[in-house]
Amino acid sequence: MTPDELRSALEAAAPQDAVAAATLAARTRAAAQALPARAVELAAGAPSARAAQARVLVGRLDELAASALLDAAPADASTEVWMVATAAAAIVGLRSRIARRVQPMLADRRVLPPGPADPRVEEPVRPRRVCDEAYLTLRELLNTAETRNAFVMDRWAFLRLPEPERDAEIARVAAGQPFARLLEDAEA
Amino acid sequence: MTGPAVVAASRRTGEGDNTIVSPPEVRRIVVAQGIQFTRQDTLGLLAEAVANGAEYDAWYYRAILFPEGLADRLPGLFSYEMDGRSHALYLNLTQNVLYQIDCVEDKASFREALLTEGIMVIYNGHARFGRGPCFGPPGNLPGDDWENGADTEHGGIFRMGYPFVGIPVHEIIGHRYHPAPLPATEPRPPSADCDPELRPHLGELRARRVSDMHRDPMLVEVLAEQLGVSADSEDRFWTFLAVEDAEHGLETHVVLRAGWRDTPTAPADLGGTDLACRMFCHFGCSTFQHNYHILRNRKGWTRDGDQRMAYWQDDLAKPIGTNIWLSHLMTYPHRHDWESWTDWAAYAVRETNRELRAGGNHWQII
Repeated sequence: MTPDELRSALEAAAPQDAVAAATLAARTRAAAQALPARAVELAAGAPSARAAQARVLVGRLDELAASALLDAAPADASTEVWMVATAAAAIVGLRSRIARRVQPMLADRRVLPPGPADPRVEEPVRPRRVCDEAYLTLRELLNTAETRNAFVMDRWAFLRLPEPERDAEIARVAAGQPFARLLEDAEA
Repeated sequence: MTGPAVVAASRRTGEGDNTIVSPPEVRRIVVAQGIQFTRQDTLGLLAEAVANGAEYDAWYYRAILFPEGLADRLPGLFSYEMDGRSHALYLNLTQNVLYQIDCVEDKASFREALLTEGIMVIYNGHARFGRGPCFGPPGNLPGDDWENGADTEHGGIFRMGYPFVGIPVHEIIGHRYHPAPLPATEPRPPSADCDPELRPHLGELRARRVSDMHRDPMLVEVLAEQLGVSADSEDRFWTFLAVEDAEHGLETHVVLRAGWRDTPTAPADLGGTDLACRMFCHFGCSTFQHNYHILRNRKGWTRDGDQRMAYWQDDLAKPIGTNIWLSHLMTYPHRHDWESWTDWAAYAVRETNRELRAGGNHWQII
């Protein structure tokens, strides 16, 4: 699928058509995964100079190859270890990129424009700042010890705190060790 | 409340051979629209938006309508009206499932759906600050349908909340219902029995007379009638001051009795209803925070494999999630007749949340 074909396919579907949207997503994903999947297939073959060359290529594809690696059929022990280690390294690298992108957002106190409202909704829309969203993104990324339910409750409670208390919490997390480690990883 | 069941006895494959394939599983879903979100309410807002040339609003109100909004997402949806109610059918050949969706708009029908074995029930409407799903006639009319119901069997709240909630007085005055405020002669409510919105204010609770609850003497008269005392009564109730919204500023919030069992509307409450449905989706504002613990832990309606499934919304929400949710369930791209609901529901959660995020919405399905 070429970029122009993608645009045409997007324009051809009715905006709300869920079936067409799912079909197009599957088609786009298949097209985007074709090259990484082929590289993984070549890399997972019997040991050879060509397979080694393909493994280097897969590593350089970073997160683009992670999905193909995880979709690949189970292989012999050493190939299996290489596949999951390469996928994990790609995702750690991606997490670091997110952390670097989020870092300046933690100081951005602009209020996000509220979306269109339904006048019937009975509770007030609470203003959310860029730094609040950045904090929550970082928390989801870093605090893997927190259960999903606990995270959702804490996120909700955080957004109900007065601004000074939210700022203090953001500052605490920004100075914290897990965040620092993510940035170090990016620079190592 | 049995709706029509349409089951194909057999059908031929696309290639035209004589293979008899399994008839599709008929899967029933009941969508319960709450007070102020009835079909007539939304049709009225849609007509107003069209008349005003408000393009986005017109799109939005159509998108949340059942069945129109769902039909826009699922070409091939067959919708019809019967007995004054909206229904829809959708056959997914890949899944081999025929979906039968019935829309209801009153508390008795909602409760009956919860008591129906094997079906999915979706509530779409107000969370009433955590008190529970709430039903009433169209028209945004004031009265007790915003609390226990003018007729407790068919209207008002189906209670499934913590025993105590804190409600701003403008909400009580605006809807003109008669709540049960907590008298200050009783102990302060324990934190564990309070809705999570109330807990941060427990240290600030003060006993106030109704005359101390509002600056406007005329509104004090109104509030007094609603709380069941005279305007000059010396009776005191537990209250706190907080800002609910910019329009009303700092205002009195009253601690109300809410609860989920042995309520004034029993048996039309969670305690009086032993859910038999297979999945319950509570799609009001912040229902995860307000009601999850009550249903799952206090009521003990815990998940068992792909039985007793429950889904919630995790923040302030608009009713646009329901048709998105339904469309993803109904387009799950795998054969699914008589299969476990686990992967099917997980797919719908993932896809719905992606779409909500893409639309700039700040809530998710959990």
